Amino acid sequence: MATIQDEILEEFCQRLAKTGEFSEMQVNTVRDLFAGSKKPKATDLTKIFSEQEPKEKLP
Amino acid sequence: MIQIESIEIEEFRGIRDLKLAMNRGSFAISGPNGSGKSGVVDAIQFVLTSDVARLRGAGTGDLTLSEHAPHVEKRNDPEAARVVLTVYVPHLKKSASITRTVKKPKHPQITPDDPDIREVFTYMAEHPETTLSRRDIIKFILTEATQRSRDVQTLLKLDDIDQTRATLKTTENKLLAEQATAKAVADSAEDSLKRHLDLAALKPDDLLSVVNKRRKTLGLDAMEKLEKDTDLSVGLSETGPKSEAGVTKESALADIKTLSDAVAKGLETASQAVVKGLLQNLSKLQADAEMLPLIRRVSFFQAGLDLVDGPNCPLCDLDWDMDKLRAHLKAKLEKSREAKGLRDRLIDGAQTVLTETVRLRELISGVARLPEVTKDLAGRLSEWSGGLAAFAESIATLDGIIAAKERFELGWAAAPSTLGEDIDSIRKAVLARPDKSATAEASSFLVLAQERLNNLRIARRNLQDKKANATRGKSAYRLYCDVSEAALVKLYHEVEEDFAAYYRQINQDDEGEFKAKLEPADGKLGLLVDFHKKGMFPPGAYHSEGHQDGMGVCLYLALMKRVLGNNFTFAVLDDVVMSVDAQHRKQFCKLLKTTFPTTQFIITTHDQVWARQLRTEGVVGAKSEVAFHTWTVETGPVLDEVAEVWDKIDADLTKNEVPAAAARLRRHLEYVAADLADELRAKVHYRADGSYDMGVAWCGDRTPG
Repeated sequence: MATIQDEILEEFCQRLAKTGEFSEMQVNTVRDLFAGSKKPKATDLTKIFSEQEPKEKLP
Repeated sequence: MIQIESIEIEEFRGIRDLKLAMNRGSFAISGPNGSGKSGVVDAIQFVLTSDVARLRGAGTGDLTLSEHAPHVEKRNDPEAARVVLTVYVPHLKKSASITRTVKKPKHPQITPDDPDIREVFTYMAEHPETTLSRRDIIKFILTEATQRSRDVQTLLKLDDIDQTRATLKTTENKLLAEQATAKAVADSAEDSLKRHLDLAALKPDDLLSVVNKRRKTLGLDAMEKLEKDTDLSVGLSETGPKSEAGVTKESALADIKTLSDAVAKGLETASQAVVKGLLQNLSKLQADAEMLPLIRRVSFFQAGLDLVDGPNCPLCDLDWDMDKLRAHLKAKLEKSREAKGLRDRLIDGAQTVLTETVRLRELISGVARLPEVTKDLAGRLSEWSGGLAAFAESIATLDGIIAAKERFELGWAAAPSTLGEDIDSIRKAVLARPDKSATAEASSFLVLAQERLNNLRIARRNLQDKKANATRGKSAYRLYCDVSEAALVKLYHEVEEDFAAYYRQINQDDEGEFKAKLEPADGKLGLLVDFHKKGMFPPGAYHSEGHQDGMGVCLYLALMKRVLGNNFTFAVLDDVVMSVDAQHRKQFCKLLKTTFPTTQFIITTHDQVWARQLRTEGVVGAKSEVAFHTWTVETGPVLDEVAEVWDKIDADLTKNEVPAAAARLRRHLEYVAADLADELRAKVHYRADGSYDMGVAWCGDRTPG
């Protein structure tokens, strides 16, 4: 049975993805960070939200 | 997550040497007060969590685990105080053991030392709520709403939700600050390009007009459209070497003039009003010695105010006039809120100064790169710019702003004393540059225009990214608040339904339609319960102590079901439901058996009747019970394992102790008769002393009413 934190995290990540403002990588990194044993820090989240998708993909 | 197979306790609390086989099933420990039952509870808690709750909390100031957890005879030998717990882990289908000594409580010995087993014990250590006393449980019912919210949140491990929310808010603020800085950089890059082009506004047509004038001089094609990747200097390499590139004399003079004008106008002029406000706020902060500590204690005072619900101060336990204490705390809270507002204004003001430092550093950089700048001068400008960067970084925090007060007073720009002369000397040197040919001048102009356009494009792209980041930060915070709030409302609703259902099961005879309402709002968790369909009231309003006791354990079980789900395989119920009468306890036994069939309950009680009921109702088996008869310092608890009565009678007869066997048989038949009389609702002669011997009970049983 999922804990309330698990449920919140899953719903939170799904809602993040739906906004279209976050890349799949960002959503997954947020999920991993929150699911980890260490408490998320603002510096970690700032870094994740600042990660940009590559502007141009190499051929 | 675990079920206890056995426990060995040595020299721990009141216990000298005790081994109990619990065999993964529910287990009862009975005995009078002071017989050592709580020592077992403490030992289970210690071995699983490395802590003993009884040694912490109000009134335990001088108690420590290392000094007071060992048996009193071994108080100087914490190594001797040792607990070994052997458990079964249902989901892993494995047995394991954990050994903890008081000497090294944080370093348990785990066997087998496998990662999955370690994970199980880590999980158990994080869930001390599996071992709660009646006192701990009843507080969920009788506490004040804010404290209940806090206790329930702690039990449900929800306090980290608030922390996450705060972390996301900090993240949003950081990203907004980065966006503000990026905007300052983009504005500076735009100013730099406008200066070079000598344009008041950066309109594409005006820009192309200025550029095409130079391109014409060089015989290059005119540009008709400015696009996002347009290269203003395209074609230059075909007309001559790019070594002609560099800041043109005209641009160099424009850059020098901008810095010079800024110096003449006053480098801090744009931020003057903000700095004035900053200094006023800093003075307020320093004039009142209490202000700064207050900023850090807003939540502390709020908590204190919420906790005032008795005749004593919740912190120091001293007697207070409660109205005076409340007024005192309210005044403190009001002042600390004022202090927090002051802090927010200081941070906002510092952000404005920070963006000004970005602009100034851009101006310095424009001049420092000119070829006329000597090595010494370049060093001074570089040192100045570096100092500004460090200053900007330092004022990102309240402590940094306070430390920077003197710099705000003296002039945060802290320009070198020789700046005026330095600028003059650079200007003279640039003016002394030999004039280039028109084509060379045009070539340099286009190269620099392209360079500054590139800088602007990069700065704007960066600003765009920072805006997107800030939007993400804002969305993440808002979404987390929405999601967590909805989840909490749902969770409390589920807990409320389970709680009411459990309570109805225990009290089906008189409160079969019982309802309850858990109301989360503004950090509080209200609890209202139905009282015989007369309305919804706080639990302590009309219900008896026994009913409140029942509510406590029902709410605890509902919360545990929600916290641990399938992992709720084990719980210690230390002296709970003591005020509940025998009939309702019987229903409680049924609740435990039917609703939590896979949970191992370790139940302690000083009530022999309740211990017996647990056995007759099938919560614990005959061999899953111990009775502590007496306790001495030297021996610890003296126990009698409760075996099947017929085994004991056989043992007596084997030793030819017929009178003992007869007495045992009589006591057993009296108990059975009393139980049967109860089940049959039999009529018996009333006895004020409640002493119904076998004969009386048996007569009643034969004439059921």
